[in-house]
Amino acid sequence: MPEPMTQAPTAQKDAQGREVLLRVRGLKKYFPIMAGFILQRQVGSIKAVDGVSFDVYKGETLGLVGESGCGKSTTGRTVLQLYRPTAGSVEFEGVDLVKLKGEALRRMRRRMQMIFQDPYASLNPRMSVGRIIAEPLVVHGIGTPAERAERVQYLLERVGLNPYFVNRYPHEFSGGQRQRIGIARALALNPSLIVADEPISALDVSIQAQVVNLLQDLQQEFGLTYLFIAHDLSMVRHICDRVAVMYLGKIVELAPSDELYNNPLHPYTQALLSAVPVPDPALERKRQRIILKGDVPSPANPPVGCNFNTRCPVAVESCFRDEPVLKEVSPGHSVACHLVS
Amino acid sequence: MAAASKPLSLGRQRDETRVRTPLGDAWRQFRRNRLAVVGLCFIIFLVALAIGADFLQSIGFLDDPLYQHDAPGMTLAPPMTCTQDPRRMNPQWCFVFGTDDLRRDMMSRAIYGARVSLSVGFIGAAISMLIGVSYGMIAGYYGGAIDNLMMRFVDFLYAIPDLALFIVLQVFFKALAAERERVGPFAQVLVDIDRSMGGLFFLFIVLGLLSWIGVARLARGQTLSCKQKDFIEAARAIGARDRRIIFVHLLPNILGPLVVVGVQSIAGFIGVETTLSYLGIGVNPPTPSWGGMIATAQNNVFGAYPHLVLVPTVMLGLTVLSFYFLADGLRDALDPSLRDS
Repeated sequence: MPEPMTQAPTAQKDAQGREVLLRVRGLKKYFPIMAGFILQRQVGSIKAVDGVSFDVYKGETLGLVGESGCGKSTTGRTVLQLYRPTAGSVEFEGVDLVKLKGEALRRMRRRMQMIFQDPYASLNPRMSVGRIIAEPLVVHGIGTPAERAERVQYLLERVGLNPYFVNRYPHEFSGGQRQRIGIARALALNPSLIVADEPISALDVSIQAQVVNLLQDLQQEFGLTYLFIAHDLSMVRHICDRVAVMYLGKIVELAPSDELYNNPLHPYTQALLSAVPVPDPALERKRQRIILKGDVPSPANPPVGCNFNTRCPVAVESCFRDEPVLKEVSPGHSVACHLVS
Repeated sequence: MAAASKPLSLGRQRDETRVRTPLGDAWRQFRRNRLAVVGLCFIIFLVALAIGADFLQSIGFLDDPLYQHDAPGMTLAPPMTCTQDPRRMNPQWCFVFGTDDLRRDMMSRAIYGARVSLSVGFIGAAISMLIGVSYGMIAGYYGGAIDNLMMRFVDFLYAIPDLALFIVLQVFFKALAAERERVGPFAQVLVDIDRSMGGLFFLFIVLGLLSWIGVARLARGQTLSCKQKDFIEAARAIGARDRRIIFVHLLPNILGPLVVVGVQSIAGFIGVETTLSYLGIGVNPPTPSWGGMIATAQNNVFGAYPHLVLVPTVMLGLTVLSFYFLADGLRDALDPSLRDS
């Protein structure tokens, strides 16, 4: 991990002296389920994110993986306050974003940006590429029109697009090119944190590598910190420094990438990793897949105790009674499982 | 050497800077629909005639639509008859479309009647779009209880039969105008405005009252579906304010179907104006209007003088048809899903 330069006086350090850029504690996001025609009342809630805590260090890439519907995208959006959390705190550069609103929150958005999954939906089809990339600057009143135009040209060049493209419209570009436009837009304000919500899963495999390499180059050049949401496990191992595995709104395991892939401790992580093919015929033949039975329970009505107990191959009695907490079992490696201690 | 490579690089540059705007694409698509182009041409022609009517009258192409000719020996003249014109030191005046029962030139009345029809159509559509789009977008964008309340009010208005309400209100306003001396000062001002506009003012109010509800529903639905798109979320992540999201991101993307409905509604307004004038509760009698002309034809033996009914109905039919063709062409042109890109 590149050692980041300390600059902000509000910087927080953890025990190892690493600078914490983003500190998420007990984050919950419940979506209400409403019923009724005119007088609506809440009949329940979908617990999309249910008590998630993690730190993101400056300059690193934290991966957030899990199957569809486990709440990883919701976590990303709640961190950015695109959804307001039900509970918990999101400390970014020492400021609790949950307590901010209106103009103060709007000003903080300069420091944190997002890259979206679907490059076909994330660009306004009625705006030219130049206007799309310049929009963050316009919204925050930065620079004169000439300076903005210059910055747009620079950004286009930086993400590997022809600066002549400023007057073109999104529909004239391929998926990979559009994703580059989305990246240029996210970079326009020089943010410190970028939440990348499955930025490559909508792209062709041949384009994925290009975009991932671009993201890594930009990270080095601008000292960016990524919260990288994905479900492609081999890609995550390639680009993430640490990985958090989510299941049904909770983090079940959090560890440095290599540690997680070599020594998965949670039964869910083990099952997940057993699905990754190994590019070595000898090892691949020996690979044992752990097939989980059943489906993910409804997040509106999660099981009592450990929420993985309905599918866990090794569950014991206490798993159906007590909820396991995420605890550190070796330096940097945390697991939420009763059977690991 | 430089001369040899120059044309080549120029050619590439032109290709790279060539811009295909969404509007340009729409126009290309629109031109393919022949009927829509014909409709647009007829509408432009009619608007030009209606605006230039006074000029055409000054050069002797049209007659004063209120002037009653003295035609000895007959009550009304069939098309293509000529008579002496005492106002112009007795040169001939030829009635291309004949005269009505009061010996007024039918062609002049038909073209001056287009002024009433077109202004009712355009202003009625403008009013309903303005109210309907802002109402629907507010309901759709803010959602929740506001949306519920606003749309239930629309449902309530939707239950009122509109033509019946138009008639009742027009009868009421006509009575108000007739009783000018006995109403309050505010109502007197309104009546004076209405008289100076030949009865059009109250017509606008009546049409504007209910016509926006369909537009409001459409605008709300479009807003709801567009609001879910990633680029709206992206705008929020950038830090754009509500006003910017509504006007820069939402409005241009939902305008297509709204414009189509707006153009279609122009034809509807022209029809309603004709109906009301035909019933004698539209514009005030000396002002020429197509509905009034049809009513006049009914009072005469139009078997002997078919031009009395043919002239206004053909004008009405061509105009309404043109607006429908135009709307049809616009729907194809503005719907990106039908376009080959």
